[in-house]
Amino acid sequence: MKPSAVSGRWQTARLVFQRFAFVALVVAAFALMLLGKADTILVERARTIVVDAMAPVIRALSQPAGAISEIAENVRDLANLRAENARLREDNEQLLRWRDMARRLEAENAELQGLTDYVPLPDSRSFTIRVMGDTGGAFAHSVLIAAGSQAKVRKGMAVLSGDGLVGRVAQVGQRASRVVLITDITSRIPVVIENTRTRAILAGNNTEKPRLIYVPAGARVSPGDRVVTSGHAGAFPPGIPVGVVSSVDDTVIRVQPFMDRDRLEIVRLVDYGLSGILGSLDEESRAAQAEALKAAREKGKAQRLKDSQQPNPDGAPQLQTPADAAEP
Amino acid sequence: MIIEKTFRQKCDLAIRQTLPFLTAFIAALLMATQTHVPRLNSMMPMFTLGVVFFWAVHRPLLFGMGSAFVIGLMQDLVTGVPLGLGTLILLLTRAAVTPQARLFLGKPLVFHWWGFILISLAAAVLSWVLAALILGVIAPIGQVLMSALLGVVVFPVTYGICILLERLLVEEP
Repeated sequence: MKPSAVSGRWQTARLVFQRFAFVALVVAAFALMLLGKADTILVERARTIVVDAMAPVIRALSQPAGAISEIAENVRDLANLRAENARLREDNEQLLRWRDMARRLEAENAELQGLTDYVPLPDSRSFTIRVMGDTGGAFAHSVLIAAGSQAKVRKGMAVLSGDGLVGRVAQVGQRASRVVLITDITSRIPVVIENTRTRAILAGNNTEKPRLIYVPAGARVSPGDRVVTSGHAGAFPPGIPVGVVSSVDDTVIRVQPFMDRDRLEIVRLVDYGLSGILGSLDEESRAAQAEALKAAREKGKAQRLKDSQQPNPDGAPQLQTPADAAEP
Repeated sequence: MIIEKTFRQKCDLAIRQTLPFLTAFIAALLMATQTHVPRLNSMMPMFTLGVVFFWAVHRPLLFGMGSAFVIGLMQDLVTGVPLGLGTLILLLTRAAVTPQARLFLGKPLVFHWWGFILISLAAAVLSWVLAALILGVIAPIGQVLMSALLGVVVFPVTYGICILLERLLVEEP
């Protein structure tokens, strides 16, 4: 056989193999898309492992940008020093007035809680973590934080900045975790309009301004209204500041979040012991929650027994405590 | 006469041969860094697309389909976007560009730039459609196009870095 014929056949075989490889890899890419939809746990685990392994490199690559940003911030701060000082003095005076009011309300609240036998939410645990990466681009809004299960980070923890709610922990590795932001397209948070107590769901849409959906018909919502978490579905406790209503038109209500994605450097992770819609807290938290619920039920039963022995002289309706509400 | 390569030479060769892959790998990780530039993170340019485009034209043998697949997969896992999205985009880019390499080789940067604009546009539209199909919701097209535009704007930088690295490939140790 001639050498050129051998070489020609070899090249043809190679071409066929390459074409086959291309088709196989395209099929594999589509299979990955299906896998991402079908087996989220497996994909989540793979993401966690890869992010964990790449965390030191991402942190190192983020450092130059962080340093430049810090220098720019310092220059800006120096330029605004006088105005900033005046503003802070004013803020301080206002905050001192608020502190006095808060103390008075705290005492009043404690007294009322004692009177109504209120069962408070479990104590929260919090710690502060540095943000090391911002991922996702136009298709996902999430950040990577430089702490994982080694630092007792748990899935479902609320993530706050100094301004308000940032998001929740969605994946936990050993040294790094992913936080899904409230602006992410998959994010749905039960909220209320603070002054009217109108319930709604804050739906992320991968823009800087998420939308309010499922707003009851006829509800009054105006630009400038504060939006806070409602505490429904057990995802977050009530009252965490989320943002302000920025625009209202016939079809869409947009919210400007308090958190600023581009300025996120340090965040606070808070474990309120709520599994909520995530339903993925560890056994320890579940046991603690079950214990608290059981104690609350027993307390409620004892209270009802006591009340039934002492008839209500006014015939006025009794206040329903959360313990009563928790009864099946 | 057969000249045995020393260990150092072997290492040098291995590094040179993996240079295209390493460049794309770093580009994928760069996409997960925090820039602190207002609004940039939600419109992060797809650095990997420029890198894959360059190596698909200049060194297709050192950056094959498998490399494009692995880089895309890693990018999807790190950035948290739907799995398979970046993988398919990079794979198709590699497959579409290499057969046209002769059109680009030896031509000035502007020529490459035009080619990259077309690829970027196609990649942006395809990824937007795929993301909508996978997520079941429509992502804002404006951000996707802005991200592609930023990728086009930074392409000369990517190209310059890759050209410098390619020179390392041809230099004698």
